[in-house]
Amino acid sequence: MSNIDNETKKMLLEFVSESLDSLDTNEAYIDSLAEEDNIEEVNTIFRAFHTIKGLSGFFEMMIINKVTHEAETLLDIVRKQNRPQDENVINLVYKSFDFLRDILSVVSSEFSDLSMESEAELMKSELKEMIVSIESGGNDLAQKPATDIEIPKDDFKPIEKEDFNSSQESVVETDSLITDEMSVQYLTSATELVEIIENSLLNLEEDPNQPDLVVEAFGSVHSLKGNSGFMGFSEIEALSSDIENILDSVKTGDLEIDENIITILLSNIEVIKNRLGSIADGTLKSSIEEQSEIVPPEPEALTKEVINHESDKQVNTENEIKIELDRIENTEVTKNEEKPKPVNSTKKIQPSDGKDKAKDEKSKLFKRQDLRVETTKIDKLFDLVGELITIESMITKSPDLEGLDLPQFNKSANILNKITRELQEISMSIRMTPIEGLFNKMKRLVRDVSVKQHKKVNLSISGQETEMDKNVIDEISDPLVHILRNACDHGVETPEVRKEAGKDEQGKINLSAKYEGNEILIIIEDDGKGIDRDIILNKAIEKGLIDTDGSELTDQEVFMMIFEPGFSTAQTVTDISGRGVGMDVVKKNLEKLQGTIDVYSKLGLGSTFILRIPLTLAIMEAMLISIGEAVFALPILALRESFICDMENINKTMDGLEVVNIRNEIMPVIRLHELLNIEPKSHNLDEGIMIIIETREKKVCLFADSILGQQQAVIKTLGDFIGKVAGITGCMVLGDGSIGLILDIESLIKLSENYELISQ
Amino acid sequence: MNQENLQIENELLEEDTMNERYLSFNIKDEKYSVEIRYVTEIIGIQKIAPIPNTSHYIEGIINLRGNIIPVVNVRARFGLDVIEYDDRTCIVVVGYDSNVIGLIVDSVSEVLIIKDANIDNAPQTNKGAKSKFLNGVGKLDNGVSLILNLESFLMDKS
Repeated sequence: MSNIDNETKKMLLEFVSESLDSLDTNEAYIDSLAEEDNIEEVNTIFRAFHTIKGLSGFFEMMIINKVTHEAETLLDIVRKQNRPQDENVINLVYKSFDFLRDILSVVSSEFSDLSMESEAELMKSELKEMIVSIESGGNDLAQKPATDIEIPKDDFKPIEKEDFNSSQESVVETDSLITDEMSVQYLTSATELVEIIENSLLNLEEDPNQPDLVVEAFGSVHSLKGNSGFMGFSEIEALSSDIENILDSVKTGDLEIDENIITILLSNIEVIKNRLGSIADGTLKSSIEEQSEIVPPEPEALTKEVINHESDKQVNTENEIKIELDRIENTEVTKNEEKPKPVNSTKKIQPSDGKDKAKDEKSKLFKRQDLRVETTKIDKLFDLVGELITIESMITKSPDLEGLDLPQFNKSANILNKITRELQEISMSIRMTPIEGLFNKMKRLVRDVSVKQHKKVNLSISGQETEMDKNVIDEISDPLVHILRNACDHGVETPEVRKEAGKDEQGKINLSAKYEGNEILIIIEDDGKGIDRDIILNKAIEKGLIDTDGSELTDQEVFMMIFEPGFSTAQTVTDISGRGVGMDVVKKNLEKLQGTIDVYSKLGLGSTFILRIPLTLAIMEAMLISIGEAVFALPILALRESFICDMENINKTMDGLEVVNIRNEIMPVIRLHELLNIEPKSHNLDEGIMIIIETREKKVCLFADSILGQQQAVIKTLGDFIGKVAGITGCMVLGDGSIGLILDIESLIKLSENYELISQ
Repeated sequence: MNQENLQIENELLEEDTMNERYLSFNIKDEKYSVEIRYVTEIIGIQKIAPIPNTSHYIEGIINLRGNIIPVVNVRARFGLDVIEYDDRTCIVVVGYDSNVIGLIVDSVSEVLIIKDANIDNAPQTNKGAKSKFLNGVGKLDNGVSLILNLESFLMDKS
C-alpha cells in the first residue's frame, strides 16, 4: 500500500512494536490456563488480545482485527468458565501468539496484513472450533488427566488476591441497570462534588482551623463514594472511601491537617478527576456494564495515570506520590481499627516500587512505569557520558597543571568528578533492565523443546528482577538458549530412564540470576544425567585436543573442553543440538562481554553452568603502570599489593621459572616486558616494581618499570580490525590524550605459562 | 598538517561526485591511489600506541578525537623496509565496511581523475606481496599509479 504517509507508517511500527512486547510479556501466563485460580492471568491475556484487536481496527488492519476477535472470544469463554483448561487450549493460544507475531512482522515490512489472509482464515477457524468445543464442555481439565508441564505457582503471583476480589464484588450480570441518563447525571454530580471537595481542601490548607469546611468536604466525599458505588465505579468508590476515612479522623480530632495530608488528598482527587474524565469519553465503563473493562486498575496503572497527568507540571511527582500513599497506609495503621475495605483499596493504590520489596518483585512482573525511548538516543547519551568522563579526566589530570598548587581548582575539580560519576551511574542504570523478559522467553523455549523430546521438564526461575545492561541481556540470550536446549536435550533424561534411576519423572531445571561482588551470575542447574568425564576425554583425545590421557586434568578442566569448536559427544544429531556448534558460540559470546563460564557436574545427578559477567563493562578504575615508553592499565579490583623487590626473595624453580617469596607465600614472577615485547627501563627485578595481582584462582607477581597512578576511564575496545590480542583486553584514553592498553590478567597468566614452556 | 594536505582536503570537499576520483600517495618512489570514496580524512603522523602480539604491519592505535583507530604501516604490509617518519609522513584514514583504519604512507600527493578506460589489470608478478593488494594500474600522463584494492589490503590474512 503505497498511499500510506510516513506519519501513519511510524504509528504502525509503534503499534507493531508495542503489540509484540505485549505478546512477549503475556506469553508467560498462557500455561496458567491449566490451573485453578488463574483469573488474573486469564484476564491479562484477554486484555492483550482486546488491545491488539482495538488498535488493529483503528489502523484498519482488519485481518489482525478479526483473528484477535476470535482469540478474545475464546479467552472470554475461558474466563467465564473459570476452570482449568486442557493442553489443546493452551497450545492453541500459543499458536495464536505465534501467528500474531508473524502477521505483525509482515505488517512492519509491508504496512498491510492482506498477504496473510489465507493463514488468518485457518487461524480463525481453529479458534472458532475451539470455542465451540469448550463451550460444549469438551476441554474441561477436570475430565482429562493433568498436563505434563507445570509451572510452579510460587514464581508467579503478580497481584494479591484480595485486590481483585474487592473490585469484583459489585459485579451484576445484567447490563440494563445503568442507563445513559443515569451516567450523565452521575458525572455531573460527581464533578460538582469533586470541585467542592477540592476547594475545601485548598482552603483548609491555608487555614486548617475550619471544622465546618471539614464537615462539608466529608459530606461531599461521602456522597461521591455512595454514588460511585451505586454506579459500579469501584475505583472511585475506593478512592473516595480513603479520603472519607482521613477526613473522618480529622473530624474527630485524631488527625491534624497539614500540608502532607492535603497533598495526599488532593492527589486522590486528581485520580478521581482523571477517572471521571475517562468515564466521560467512554474509555472507562462501570463494572456493572462490562465486567472486563474496569478490572483491576493495576496499582501501577492508577499511579501511572496520576503520573502522566502530573508529569507535565512536576518533576518529582513519582516520589511525591510514593510518599503520600505511604502516608495513607500509615494513617490507617495508627488508627488501629479494623477497616477491611479501605485497607484493601489502599493496597490497590500502592505503587509497585514503594517500600514493600517483596511486593515489588511480584508486581514488577506485571507492569513497570515505562517510558519508551529509542535506544539510539540512549546509546548517544551513553557515548557522551563516556566522553565526558574521558575529557574530565584529561582536564583534571592535564600535564599543564603539574606541580601547580591550585586549591580552588582542585575543589571544583572534585565536585566535577563527583557529578560525572553520578551521571555515569545513572546513565548506566538507564540501560539496565530486569532479566525477567529473557527468562520468560526461556520458559517457552524449555516447554517447546521438552515437548518435542517427549520429556517432562519443569523450569523454575528466580532472581528475574536482577537488572543488567540491555546489551548484555541481548548478548547472553543466545548462549542461554544453547545451554537450556542442551539441558533439555542431553541433560534431562526421558521419564522412563529417570524412573528407573529412581528419580522423579519430571526433570528440574533451575534458572537464576544474582549479583556477586561486581559480577552478575546466571546459573543453570539441572538434575539430569550429568556430564561423563570419560566420554569427554575420549572425544578430546580423538580430536587431538590433548596428548596425554587426561588423568592429570581436574573434572572442571575436562568439562571446559566441551566449549572447543566442533565438540559434540552426542550420538545422534537432533535438529535441536548435537552438531557441536552451540557451546563454542556460548564461550565466544561470553568473551565478548568479558565474561566467563564454569561447569560443574556429577554423573547421574546433574549439571550446573555458571555464567559470570562483569557488572560495569564500560568504565573501569585502573592502576596505570609503565613499561619502557608504554603505559598499561590494570583493573584495580585485581590488585593486591606492590613492592620493590629484594633479590634475596627471588628464586628459580627447577624448570627455570622465577618465583618470589613474600611472607612465605611463593608466587610466579611474570616479566611483562617479555610477554608484551617492550624494552623496559631495566631488566633487573629489583630496579622496577613488583605488583601482586589475583584472579579467581591464582596469585601472580607482575614486573613492570613503575606505577604511575590511578585513573578512571572508559574502556574502549581495540576494534574488529585488530581483533583479539593475547594479554590485552581493550584500551583507554589517558589524561594526556595518549592511549593505555588494558591488560587481561588471566590471559597474561596463560601466556606466561606457555612462554615459560617455549623458552626452555 | 601542511599546505598540501589542506589543499587536498579542500579538493575532497569540492568534489560532488566520487566516481573515478582517487587520492594518490607515495610509498618508496612508487605512486599509489585509493578511491576517494573510502577516504575520510588525512592527518599528520601522531603518537601511536603499539599493540603487542599482532601482525607486523599493524603499527598500533591512535586516539582520533576520542575514537580509537587502528593504524597500518603500508610499507610493512607491502613487505618493504620500514623507514622513520618525517614531516611528510601522513595517516590516510579510510572507512571500509564499518571499519575505520589509518594507513601510514610516506607522503600524500593529489586527487586524480582516472577514467576506468585508463586502468589496466594488475600485473600478476611475483614481486613481493604487492600484486594481490591491487585492483589495477592506472595510466597517468607522467607514469602509472597502482590502484589499491582496499578489501584485500585490509582483510586478506594470508
